[in-house]
Amino acid sequence: MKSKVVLWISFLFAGCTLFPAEEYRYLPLHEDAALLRNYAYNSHTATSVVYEVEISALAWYNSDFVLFENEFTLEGDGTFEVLDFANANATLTGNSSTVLLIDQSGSYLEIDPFNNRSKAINKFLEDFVAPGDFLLGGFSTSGMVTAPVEYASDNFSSSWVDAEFLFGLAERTGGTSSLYDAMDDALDKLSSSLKPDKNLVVMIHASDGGSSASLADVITKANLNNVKIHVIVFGNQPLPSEVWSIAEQTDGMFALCENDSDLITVFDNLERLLNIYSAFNTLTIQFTPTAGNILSGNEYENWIRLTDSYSGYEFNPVYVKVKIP
Amino acid sequence: MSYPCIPVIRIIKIALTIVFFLSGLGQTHAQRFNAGFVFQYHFLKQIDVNSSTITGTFSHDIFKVKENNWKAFAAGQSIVVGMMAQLDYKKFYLTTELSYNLNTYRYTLYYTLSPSTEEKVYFKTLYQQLEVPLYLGYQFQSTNLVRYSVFGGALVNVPMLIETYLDEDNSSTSPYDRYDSNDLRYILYDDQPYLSSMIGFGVHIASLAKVDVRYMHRFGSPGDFYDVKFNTVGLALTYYLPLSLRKKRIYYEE
Repeated sequence: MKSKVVLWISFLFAGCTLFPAEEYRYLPLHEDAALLRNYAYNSHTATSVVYEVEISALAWYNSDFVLFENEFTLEGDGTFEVLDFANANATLTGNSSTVLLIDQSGSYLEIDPFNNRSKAINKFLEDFVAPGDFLLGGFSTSGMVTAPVEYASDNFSSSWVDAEFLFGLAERTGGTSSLYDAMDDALDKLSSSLKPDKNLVVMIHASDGGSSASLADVITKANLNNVKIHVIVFGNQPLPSEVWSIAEQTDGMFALCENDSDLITVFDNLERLLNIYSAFNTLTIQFTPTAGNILSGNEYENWIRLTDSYSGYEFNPVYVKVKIP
Repeated sequence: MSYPCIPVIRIIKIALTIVFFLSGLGQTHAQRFNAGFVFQYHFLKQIDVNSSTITGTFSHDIFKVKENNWKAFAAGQSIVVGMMAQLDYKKFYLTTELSYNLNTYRYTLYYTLSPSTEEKVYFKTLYQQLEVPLYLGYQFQSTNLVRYSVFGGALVNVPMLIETYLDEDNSSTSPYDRYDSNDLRYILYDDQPYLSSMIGFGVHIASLAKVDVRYMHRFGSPGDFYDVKFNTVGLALTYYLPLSLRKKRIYYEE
C-alpha cells in the first residue's frame, strides 16, 4: 500500500514538472550562451600582463551557470595562467533607464532567416517592470527607418506596449549602419533620465557606415552621463576589435552572438542581468605574449572559451582585447 | 483571465424539461413525436479575427492576420453524431439533439521574416465537444413524398481540446522549433462551454428521414483579448425511428 502511495505521489510531482505552467512562454529553440560582464586591466611587467574578467554563463532557461575552472579555455598568441578563480554574484536595484538600439542596416536573412531576434527582444522588453524603464529604437542610414534613430515611443516606459513596432522593424531593414550617430542620439535621451543606473544596449550586425559622431565622442558622452554601453554583436560583423572599446571603456557587457540561439539566450537573460541579479565567474589571468616586450599602447586579443564538462556543449566565445595603458 | 460562465447543466435541464413537457402534450394535442439519429458533416468554415495582428498566448510572437474568409475543407471539418427527439405540432416542430462533435480547425497566420518574406504558419486543433441544440422548425410546401422546412435555434457546446498541431510551408525545419502549437489558446479555443445559434433548411422524406443544411454561428469569443467569430455550414442527415406504425392523420397530408 505504501509503495502505491509513493508511486502516486511521484506521478503527481512528475505531472507538475512535465507540463509547463500557464505562465511559461515559448521562445524558439536555443541553447546556453556566454557573455563578458566586465573587464579590468590590473598590471603588467615587461613580459606579462594581468587582467580580470567577469564572465556570465547563461542558461537557456533564464538562469546562470557557475562553471569550474577546468571548463574555461584561454586562447591567444601567448601563454596563460589563471592566478585566481572565484564565483561571485551581484544584486541590482532595478532602478534604471535602458535604451535598446537595434541595427536596421543591411539584411538579417543570412544570420537570422526566421526572424527569431524579434521574439527574443520582445521577451527582453516584456521582462521590464517598474521602477526600471526603457526605450526601443531602430537605426540605419539611407534605410527604412528615420535617421539617426526611430524610437517606438517618445518617452521611457516601464511597460511594453509597442510590440507591433518591434515586429514591424523586420520589414524595414536596409541601408547602412549609423551606429555612432544612433548611440549619440540615444545618449541624449538617457542623459535626461533621473534614474541612478543608465544602460544603452546596442545590437549590431554591421560596421559603422559613416556616422558624423565619432567613437571617441560617444564614449566621452557616455562616461559624462554615467551610461554603461552594452554591446551585442550578432553574426560575424563587425569584428569584435572594432567595437570592443565601446563596452570596455563604459563598463558595459560584451556579447558575441554567433547565431540566433546565442542571441535568444542573451536577451532572455539580459533584463535580469541589467536590473535584478547575476551570478558569474571571475578570473584573474596572467597573459604572457609569445613575442616581444610589453610596452604601453600594445594590444593583445584573447579568446575565452567555455565548455560544459557534463554535456560537452561549447558556449559562444568570449572576446577580450587587452590594452596596455 | 476570466471566462464567460454559462450554466450548461441548467440549460440542458431546461431543454430536456421542455422536450419532455411537449412530448407529454403530444399525447393529446401534438400530431407526432419522433426520435432518431443525426449524422452531420461540416466542411465550410470561417474564422474571423477582428484584429490585424495576434500575439501568441504562450510565446513572444506576433502574427499577422490575413485570412478571415470562408474556406471549404481548408479551415477544418467536423463530424457529428447524435440522437434527436422531435415533436411535431401542425406545421411546427421542436427538436433537441444530444451530439458528439469531433472537429478540426486550421487557421493560417503570417510571420514576418524579412522585408520581402513572410512565413505562413498553420495552427491546427483537434477537438471534441458535446452539443445540445434546441431548435424550432416550420414546415411548408409538402408533397406526398417530401416536405420542406426552415428551422432556427441555439446550441450549448461543451468543448474539450484533444491536440494542437503546427504546420508551415518551409520543410527544411520543424515549425515546433520556432512556434508554440498552443499559441492560439484563449484566442481561437478554450475549454469553456459556449452558446451558438443555428439556422437551417431541411427536406423531410416522408417520415423516414430529414436532410438539412445548417449554418451555425458562435456567440462570443474564446478569450477576452480578441473578437473572433466562428461560422460553420454543414450537412445533416436525420433518421427517424419507427416509433409508431399506426397510421396517423397529420396536418400536411390532405
